[in-house]
Amino acid sequence: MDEVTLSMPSAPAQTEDLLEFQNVSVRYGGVTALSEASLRISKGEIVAIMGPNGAGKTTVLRALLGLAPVSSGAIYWQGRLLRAVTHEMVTLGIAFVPQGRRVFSHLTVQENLEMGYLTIKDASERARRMASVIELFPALEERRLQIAGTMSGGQQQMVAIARALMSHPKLLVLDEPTVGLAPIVVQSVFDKIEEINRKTHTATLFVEHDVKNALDVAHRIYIIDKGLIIFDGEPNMVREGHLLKDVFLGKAETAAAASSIDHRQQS
Amino acid sequence: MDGTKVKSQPLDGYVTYQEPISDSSTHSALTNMRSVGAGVVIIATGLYLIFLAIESPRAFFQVFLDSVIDGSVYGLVAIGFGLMYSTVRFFDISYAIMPAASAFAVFYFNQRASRFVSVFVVGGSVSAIVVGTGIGLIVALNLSICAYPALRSRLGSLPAQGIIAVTSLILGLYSGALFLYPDQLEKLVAPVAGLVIAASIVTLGSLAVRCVPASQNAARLLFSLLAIVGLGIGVWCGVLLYGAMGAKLYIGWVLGIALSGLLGMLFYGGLLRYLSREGRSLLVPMVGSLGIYMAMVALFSIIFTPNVKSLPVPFGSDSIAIAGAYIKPFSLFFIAVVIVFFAGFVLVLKKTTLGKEIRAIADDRELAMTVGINVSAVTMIVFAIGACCGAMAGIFVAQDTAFKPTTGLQLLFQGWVASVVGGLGNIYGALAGGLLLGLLENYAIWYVPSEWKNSIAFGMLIVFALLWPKGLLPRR
Repeated sequence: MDEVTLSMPSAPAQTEDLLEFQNVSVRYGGVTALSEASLRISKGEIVAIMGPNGAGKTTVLRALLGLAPVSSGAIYWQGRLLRAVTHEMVTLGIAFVPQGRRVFSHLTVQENLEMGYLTIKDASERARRMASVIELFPALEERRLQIAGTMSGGQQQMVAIARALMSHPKLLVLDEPTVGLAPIVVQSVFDKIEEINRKTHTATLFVEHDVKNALDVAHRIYIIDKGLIIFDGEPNMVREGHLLKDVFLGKAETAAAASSIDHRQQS
Repeated sequence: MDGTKVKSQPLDGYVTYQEPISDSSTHSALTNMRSVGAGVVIIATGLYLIFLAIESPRAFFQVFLDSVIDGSVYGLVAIGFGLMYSTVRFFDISYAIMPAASAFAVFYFNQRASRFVSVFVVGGSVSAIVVGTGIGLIVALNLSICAYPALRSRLGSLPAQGIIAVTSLILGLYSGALFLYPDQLEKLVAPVAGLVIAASIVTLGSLAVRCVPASQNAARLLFSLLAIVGLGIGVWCGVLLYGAMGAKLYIGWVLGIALSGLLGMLFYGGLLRYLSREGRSLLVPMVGSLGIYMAMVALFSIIFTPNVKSLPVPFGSDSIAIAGAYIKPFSLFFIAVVIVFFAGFVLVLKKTTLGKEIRAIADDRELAMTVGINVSAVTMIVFAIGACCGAMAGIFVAQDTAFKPTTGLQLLFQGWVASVVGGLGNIYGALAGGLLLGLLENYAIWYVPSEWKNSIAFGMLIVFALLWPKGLLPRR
C-alpha cells in the first residue's frame, strides 16, 4: 500500500482554505440554532465539532449542505460564495454522511456504493473508483450483493463512509459517525477516518460526542455551546484543561468565554 | 494492504439491533391466529376454485380470462400508484384524472373537425391556441425543473435557458397544430413518428453495440450501419403512417398517454412539490391533489359535457376463441402491452441509473438528496411514468366500455387496494395484487348477481389485509 490510489490533490499547504463560514446564523422559526458562527477548514485537515446535545453542532453541517436555512452570514467554498443546493454538493466535492448510519437499506452494498458516483458516466473511471474504495474497505468486497439493511451497525457506517468516498470528495462531512455503535466499532470507525485522511488527504469535518476519540483523531477542534462557537484550537489545548468538562456539564459560560477570548487574541 | 484487512476484520462479528417485542405472548398468539386464518382462506379458496372448475370447465376458463384482463388493468393502476406513493409518501388523488384525460384526448382526435363538443370546437383556432400555449408553458415549467440544473452545469445558464425556451416553443406550436387540424393527424404525426422511431432504434442499438467488445473501428462501422438501418426503418414507418387513413385512434392513444405524462409532471412540479415541503403534514399535498382532481373533472365536464362517451372499436369487434373461451383482440393486445411495459419497467428500475435513483429516493429521500440526486426532477419523472400507467388503464377502460370525467376514481380505488394488498413499494406485489383483485371480483360473483361484485371483492380484500398486513409480497 505505497501507492495512493484515490487521486486526490495533495495538500502540502495547510494555509489554503477549503471551506469558510463567515458569521453564519441559522434560525428555525424563532429559535436560533446557530448564531454568527465563523469557522474554516484547510485542505487535508481533520476538524471536529464538539459540544453538548442541542448545541448546534449538526446545524453547522446542515447549513453547509443546504438542509438548514442560513438566515445571515455567508459560506465560502474554495474562496467562492457557496449557494447551497443539496444535490449539487457532491459535484462541488463535498460528500456527506448523515447521522444514524444512513444507508439505502433496501439496496445492495454495491448499489449503495454506486449512489456515491452518480455524476461519473465513464465506465472505466467508475471501475477504478470502485476498486480504490474497496481497497480502503476490504471487508465490503464479499458483501457487495448483500442488502445493506441486513448488515450490522458498524458495517452500515462503513458502507455510508465508503459511499461518500466514491465521489472523491475534497471534503468529507460526517455527522456523529459513531453514535449508537459498540465501543470496539467506534474505535475502528475513527481508525478508518484517520486512514482515509492519511491515504487520500481528504479534508474531514465531523461532529462527535465521543470526546476522547475525537481529540485523538482531529487536527483541530471547535467547541459549540448554545449555538455559539466558544473554542477553536488544537486538541491538546483542551485535553489538559477543564473547558470541555465544563461545557458538557453546563457550567461553561464564564470559563469558556474567557478561554475563547484568550485564544482569539493569541491567533 | 494486510494492515487494512486486519483492521477491518473486527467489524464483521457485530450483531444487528433487534426490534423490541413489547408483549411476546400476545404477539405469538396473533401470529398463530394469522397463519391458521391464512391457511383456512387459502384452502377454502382452492377448494372453491376446484369445485367451479369441475362444475363447468369452459365457463371457468372464460371467467379466468376476464379476471386476467381486469387484473392487468388494476395491476397497471397499482404499479403507478405504488410507484408514486413510495417516492413521495402521500396519496396522490390527482392520479384519478389521468384515465379520463387520456381518454378525452383520444376522443378529441377522433372527432370530425369543426364539430361542436359543448363549448369546445374540434379543430377550432381558439382551442388550438389555448392548448398550444398551455402545452408550451407546461413543457417549459417541466424542463426548467427537470433538465435545467443538468443543462446549466454543462452548457452555462444562457444556452440552457435558450434550449428550454426553443423546445417548449416548438412543442407548443406543434401541439397547437395537432389540435387545429385533427383531420390531418396522420400526416402531421408521420414525420415526427419516423424521427422518434429512427432515434430510438439508433439509441437502443448503440447501447447494445457498447456491450459488445469490439475494436474502435468495428464499433464505428457497426454504429454507422445501425444509423442507416434505423433511419431507413424510421422513414419507412413515417411513409406508412402518412398514408394510413384510420390510424387516428392509435395515434390518439400515444398522444393521450404523452399528454397525461406531461400533466402528471405539471401537477407534482407545479403544486404538490411545494405542498409537500419538509415538516408539513402529508395531508396537505393529499388535499391539494384532491383539489386538482375536482378542478380537472369540472374542466372536462364543462368542455366535453359530463355525459358518458365511447370511442371507435379498435382491431375489429370479432372475438378470438381460445379453448372455448372468447376474448376481444383489443384485450389480448392490452395484456401484451401490460406485460411488455411491466418487463421494461422492471429492467429500468434494476439496471438504469434512473431506476436506481428512483429506488434510492423511495428508500430515503433526504439521503438521496445528499448523495447528489436531483430529487425533484426524478420525482417529476416518476409522476410522469405513474400518469402514463393511469392513462394506459384509462384508455383500455374507455375503449372496452365507455368513459366520463370521473372514470378514474373507481380505478384509483381499485389500484390503491391492489397495491396495498399486494405489498406497497413492491412492483411485483402491485401486479399480483391487481390480478388477485381481478380474480376475486370475477369468481366471487359466480352464484350471485354482478351487483355484488364490489361488496364481495372488497370484503375479501379486508380479510386479506388482516391476514397479510404487510401485503402478499412485502418489500424485500
